[in-house]
Amino acid sequence: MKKIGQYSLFFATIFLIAEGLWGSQFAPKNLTGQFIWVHYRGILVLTLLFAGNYFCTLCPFVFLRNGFRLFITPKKIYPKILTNKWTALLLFSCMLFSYEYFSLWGKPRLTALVIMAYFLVALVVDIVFKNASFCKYLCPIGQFNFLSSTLSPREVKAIDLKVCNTCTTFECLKGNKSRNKNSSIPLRGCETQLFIPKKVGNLDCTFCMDCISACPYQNVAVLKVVPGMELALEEHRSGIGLLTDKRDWLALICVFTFGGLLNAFMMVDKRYELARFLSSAVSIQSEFVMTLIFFIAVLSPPLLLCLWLPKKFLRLIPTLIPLGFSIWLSHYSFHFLTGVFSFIPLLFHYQIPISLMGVPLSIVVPIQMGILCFGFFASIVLTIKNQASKDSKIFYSFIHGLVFFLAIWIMSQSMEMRGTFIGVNP
Amino acid sequence: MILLFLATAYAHEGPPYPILVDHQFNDHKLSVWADPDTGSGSFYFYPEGVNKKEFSYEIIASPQTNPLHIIKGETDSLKLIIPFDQNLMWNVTIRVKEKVSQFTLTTKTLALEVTPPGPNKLEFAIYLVPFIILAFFWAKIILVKQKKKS
Repeated sequence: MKKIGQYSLFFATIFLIAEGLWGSQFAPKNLTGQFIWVHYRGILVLTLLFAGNYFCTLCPFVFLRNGFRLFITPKKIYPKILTNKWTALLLFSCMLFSYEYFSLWGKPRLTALVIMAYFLVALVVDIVFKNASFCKYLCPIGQFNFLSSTLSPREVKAIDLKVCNTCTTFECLKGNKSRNKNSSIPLRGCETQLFIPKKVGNLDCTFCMDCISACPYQNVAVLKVVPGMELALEEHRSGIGLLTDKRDWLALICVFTFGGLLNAFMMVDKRYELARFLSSAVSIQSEFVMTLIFFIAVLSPPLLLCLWLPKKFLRLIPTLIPLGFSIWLSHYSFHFLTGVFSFIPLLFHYQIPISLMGVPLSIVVPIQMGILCFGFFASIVLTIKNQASKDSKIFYSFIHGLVFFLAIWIMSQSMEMRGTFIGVNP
Repeated sequence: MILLFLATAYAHEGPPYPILVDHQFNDHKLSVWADPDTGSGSFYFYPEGVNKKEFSYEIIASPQTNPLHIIKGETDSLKLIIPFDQNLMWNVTIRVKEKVSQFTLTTKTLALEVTPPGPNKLEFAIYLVPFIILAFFWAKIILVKQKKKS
């Protein structure tokens, strides 16, 4: 089943690259523009919410590198100085910035080139360095999926920890050569260095299922969990440590949350009004500088706080995740649900009634607001029930309230319908 | 707070949908997107071809049940607002003219469903209820499990 999914997604990606390069460059009439920026992102967040990190399972980039690894065995260890999330955080921010600055949603050819670049980097990194270095330390989509999947209802974990306690060979981590005698390819262990008995939650788990195949006792499985439970307890995580001790992770959480806010804000008309005002007030004509100003203004304050505040004040940063995910979810699901079938008349020249092109606004808007409310509520519950100091709780409750207020305001504005409709400016 | 924003939430319009794709006339093609809400139905014109900036656009709309009730609008730009006053099926005629001579280049009539602009407060509250119930149960489970583990 995994193989079928991987082949399907890989060939779908190749097809979308071809369509982006050689298809119509008018984005709404191009499958790449439509499916990458509307459907893929919508389906991704909904899958994370209702199932788990299955998009990493089927990742076409990893699929390709696995093919190459049949012929090339990586020898090098990823540089120790880079074994953290700082590079991934930078790439994640660059990806958000590029999306805005290059208007990727309206440029199918550029979108295809970005996908190709992604393939190339993933391939080069993973045939030079051992394990899943690209997934763990670089992939921006992976980081998004890791953080979002803390709210997923499924997790790869040990069925019975007592069985793990009797294990002395640790195949889930080291791999299993004896299980694959018919082939020269050994069964891999966890390539992101998560040791199943000590694994807590979904962070850094690519759902690759290698540990499930490698375990000689069939004691690892995808099991149901309560979404967000891993955020309610501060535990030492295998491959990570104590999350609240890791400033790189905490900074990533901040960029994830405030990046979601920024990504939505950059689509509303008030942003353009603000840009016009700023541009006349400080005489900035460069679109690059203007976009950079927005990014620095929104992302740098939480990042600086992450770097400079004492650790005891950082303990509650993970409680931002539910709110952050709810912002991404309400935003992407809005675009996806309202325009789910709007590509049919454009691509196939078959007119369908407007009411069939997407879910009516009267349903989507309350869903959107409901998701935001749930995210805020979850963040507040996790904050209140944390063991942190009272001052910290008050501070973070205020931050959650502010982010929630801004998210509601942004989602209430007129928003560009990128992907489904790019505005009339021929 | 949600209800405070409800009035402006309506401003978060849905996407305009393609109602006419690649309609050929002379050496040109016209595609039209529409978000036909009551109050302010918006139409966006996307012409392709040489001299595409030389056109003006006219919309003539009437409910299918009352053809004598006609609403019209005309524009030289690429966006036009039509104040639909009923949630019904309407016949909408799109006319493309030469900007200067006002000579009609093409006419196309379509059936279009005019939709309400957004949820009313009651609908909004009803749709929010499942989220509140879900949030309540989620919090309860989290708290019980947290207590057990610690």
